[in-house]
Amino acid sequence: MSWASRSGSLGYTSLFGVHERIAASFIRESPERLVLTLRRIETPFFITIDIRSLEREVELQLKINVSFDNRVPEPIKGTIIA
Amino acid sequence: MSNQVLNPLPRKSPEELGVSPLKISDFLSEMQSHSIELHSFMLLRHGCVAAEGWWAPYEPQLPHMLFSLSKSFTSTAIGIAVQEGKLSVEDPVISFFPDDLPKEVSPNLAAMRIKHLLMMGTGHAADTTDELHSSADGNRVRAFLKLPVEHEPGTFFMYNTGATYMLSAILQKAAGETLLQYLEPRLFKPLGIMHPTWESCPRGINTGGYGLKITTEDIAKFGQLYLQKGMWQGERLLSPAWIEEATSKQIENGAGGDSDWAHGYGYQFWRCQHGVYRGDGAFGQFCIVLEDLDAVTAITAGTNDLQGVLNGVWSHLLGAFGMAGEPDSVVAKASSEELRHQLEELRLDPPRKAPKPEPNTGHGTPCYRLEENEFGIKQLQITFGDNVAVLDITNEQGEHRIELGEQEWKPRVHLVIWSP
Repeated sequence: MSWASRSGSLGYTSLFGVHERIAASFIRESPERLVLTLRRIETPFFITIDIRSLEREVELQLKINVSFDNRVPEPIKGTIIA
Repeated sequence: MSNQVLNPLPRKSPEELGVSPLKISDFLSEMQSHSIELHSFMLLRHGCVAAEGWWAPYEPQLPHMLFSLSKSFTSTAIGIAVQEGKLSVEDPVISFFPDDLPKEVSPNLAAMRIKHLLMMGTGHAADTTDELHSSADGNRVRAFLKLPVEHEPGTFFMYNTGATYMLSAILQKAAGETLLQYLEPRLFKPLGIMHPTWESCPRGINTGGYGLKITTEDIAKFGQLYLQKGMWQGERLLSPAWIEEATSKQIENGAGGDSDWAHGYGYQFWRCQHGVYRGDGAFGQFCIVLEDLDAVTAITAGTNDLQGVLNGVWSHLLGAFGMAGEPDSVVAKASSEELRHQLEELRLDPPRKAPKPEPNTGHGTPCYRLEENEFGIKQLQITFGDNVAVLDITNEQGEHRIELGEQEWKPRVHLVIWSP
């Protein structure tokens, strides 16, 4: 899949339902742990995705900096396919 | 979208405007020490920008979601419509929606006027927003009108975003165009507010109580318009009588004290401590009008500590004002250079660790299929490059690609340079 066929261009995304600017970073905490930070810079929100992988499995913990209910989302489990 | 600001506000140094750089600096430092995440800050005095800053990666030309600060703009539209004779604050709410009324109209619903929507005194015992959003047919007006009205309108304060939606719906009925369309030539264009956007309900009515996106300078201009009693560059946009009415206490909302949510409510404006009024929105969006000091503060943020932001304004900015050019203790003793440097350095850094790991250690190009989840994410792949990674996410709407910098924001942004 080419870059052009994706829904966003660099610095923009529609991931959150509207076309908007985004600034993003990652940090390799360890060989098994990667933390992504997505700042929706047209909003008050940033999303942290903490990815922990173990062989063929993965667990994602998403956190949002501010919300009306302060609820921490349930972790998301997944399996490696490639 | 153009990055140019149409009709930018004039800029002067804090000293020229009689504002203490030290006090501004103290305000910024307090926000940092209290871990209050601001995204932008502008301080105006005498119609000029005295100080401004954006915390990178936030930028001056970016619009920011206003949340309930949108309400003050909706109120303004109603004020203009009153001026134009399109409606009156004494008009009954039910008079606009004969096709959406419940079978039996209660006395309290019949007594509800536009002014009660404006002052958050509809008589409802609870916020109506959830009921409006969950209406099966998307007819939020009908959903609002069918709710019980427990109190006599005007006697009971209940912050009620559904009420502001009704103002938007009434404006659309009376004007024959949406709130956003109505405000375009009457407010946004005269103020040089470019490309404002406003969320709409499934029936095409702007949400009114939230959903407006504009820049921080646009917020500041809006506050300045109120400070100037509705005059803008020689043109009257809003009557001084309306501004007086809209920003005065129309209903009690508490016992005052240290809470800035208990000093009275106007027409979609909050009365504050110290005789100040403001519009505000969730997570720290503010337009604060310091009338006695001829000043406005516009702030965007991502914080739950709204009172903390206001306390910082009261503690530091209220004391920042002296007479323009007055070389005494109130006015600047700290160097403007120090403030300029502080404003230039405002940033929200990405998570970092030292030492930075060697490139790509232990991370390949994994692709994961995820179990069903509340975010609708189906698949996720990360590809690493030289100090960058590419995140490919597949969700119910399709595929999305985001580039991430390693311990840096991607894309990199230009710092905003404050200049007098």
